[in-house]
Amino acid sequence: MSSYPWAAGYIDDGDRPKLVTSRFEHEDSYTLERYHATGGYAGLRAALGRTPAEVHDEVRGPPCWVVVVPGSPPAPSGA
Amino acid sequence: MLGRGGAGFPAGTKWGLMPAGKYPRYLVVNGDESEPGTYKDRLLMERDPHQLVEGCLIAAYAAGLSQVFLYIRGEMPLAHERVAVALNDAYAAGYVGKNILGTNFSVDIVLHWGAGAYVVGEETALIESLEGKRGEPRLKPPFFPAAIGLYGQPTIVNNVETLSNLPWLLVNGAQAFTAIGTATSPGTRMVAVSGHVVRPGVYEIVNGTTTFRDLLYGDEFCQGIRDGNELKAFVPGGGSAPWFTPEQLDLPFEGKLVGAAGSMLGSGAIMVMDHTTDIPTAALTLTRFYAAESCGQCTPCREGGTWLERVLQRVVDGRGTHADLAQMMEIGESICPGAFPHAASERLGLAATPFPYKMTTICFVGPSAYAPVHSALTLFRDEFEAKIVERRHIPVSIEAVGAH
Repeated sequence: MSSYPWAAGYIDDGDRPKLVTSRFEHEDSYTLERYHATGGYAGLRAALGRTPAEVHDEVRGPPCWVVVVPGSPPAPSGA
Repeated sequence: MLGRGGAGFPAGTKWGLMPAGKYPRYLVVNGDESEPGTYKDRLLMERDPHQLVEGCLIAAYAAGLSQVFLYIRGEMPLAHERVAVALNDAYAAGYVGKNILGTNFSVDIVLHWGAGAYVVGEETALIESLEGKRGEPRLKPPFFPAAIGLYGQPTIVNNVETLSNLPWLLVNGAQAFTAIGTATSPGTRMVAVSGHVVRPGVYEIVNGTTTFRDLLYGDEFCQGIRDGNELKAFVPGGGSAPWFTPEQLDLPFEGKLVGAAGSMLGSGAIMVMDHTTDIPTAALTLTRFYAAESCGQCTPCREGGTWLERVLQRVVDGRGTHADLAQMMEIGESICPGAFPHAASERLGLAATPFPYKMTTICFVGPSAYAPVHSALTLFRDEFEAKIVERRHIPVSIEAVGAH
């Protein structure tokens, strides 16, 4: 199956990792029932089991320097 | 975790920019997806709204936020409806509100419906709109609303796709996340492909390693150019991005490489033009959009965008002169002084001018009106010449111009 009538425009051919579209194959992917059935809110539970700083570090990754040059064009939309 | 909204700024680093000890602080979700060619966030909101809500909660917990504002573009009623129902269900199930899942963590999420202005995709304009004002970008500095944002408080503005990645990242861990893609572009990203390909659509691709050739010609993706036609040009990162030609097909989805090649990955929208495309008309279509969407605050954008559209329209109509071509570049110089990014072209003997550009406007709308004009004039000037000399209309092919 490469596309779904309920997710017009979305195509998932191939064996690629699906991080944000894994539920698109389900017609009722927008419901809480489906979300629970597919591991939904496990990320929140995992986060609440740690300190906010630990969660922040997990998302931020290894320390790095970010140079912001004044006058450089901003992003087209929120990053 | 790099932001997926356009700038590619590291999300966790952005959260860390808020001044210590200043509360309340807010999370604003930018669901005002309006960049021409982009329709990935809409799908994420329509098909998996709980994933977005969960991402908001994780971000709020990590950054010490107690209030989230979810701003959804006005022309996306189904996304609005689905997110609204998801929020009600999440409140009822104890995921949102006071003492979430029995902890001391409390967050409220407010849903806000935009009114359909493209410029509100710029984060400070979105904040103005949320405050009930006209959606116009704020003067910089401050460059980031993390310092002074919504209601003058520290505010993080994150994109829908960025936040939708967080549940997976927290369940599977950063190591699993960075194992996908490359060290500098980990994970996956959503891209929306439109135009002259066999199978346009939204794809979740591996970041950093997938090339434009993979995407446009791969069997699991777009399966080539329609009707067996030749690829002429493509826009690699939304309507405001400088154009690429087949010479850049082997570039991967890696922000630094694409920037050095003269464009940007932007919002993940790829617009494909085959050899039948009338390039000046294609440029006009994009420039008209940005000229119409100017908020009018900055003179170079308000006047420049409008004049770019008018002069380009004249050229497309076959009433242009060579002076018009020079004038369009002059108008562009008033919006973006200095060298403007463009792709290399072996055919023209051109080296690439890397991203970004300088600009005389508060936000990117003015430069976006100029980008298609500059790309088209730089890479396909012969087609403009044909319009002027031969007064010809579509399709104007490179071969025909060369034979003239």
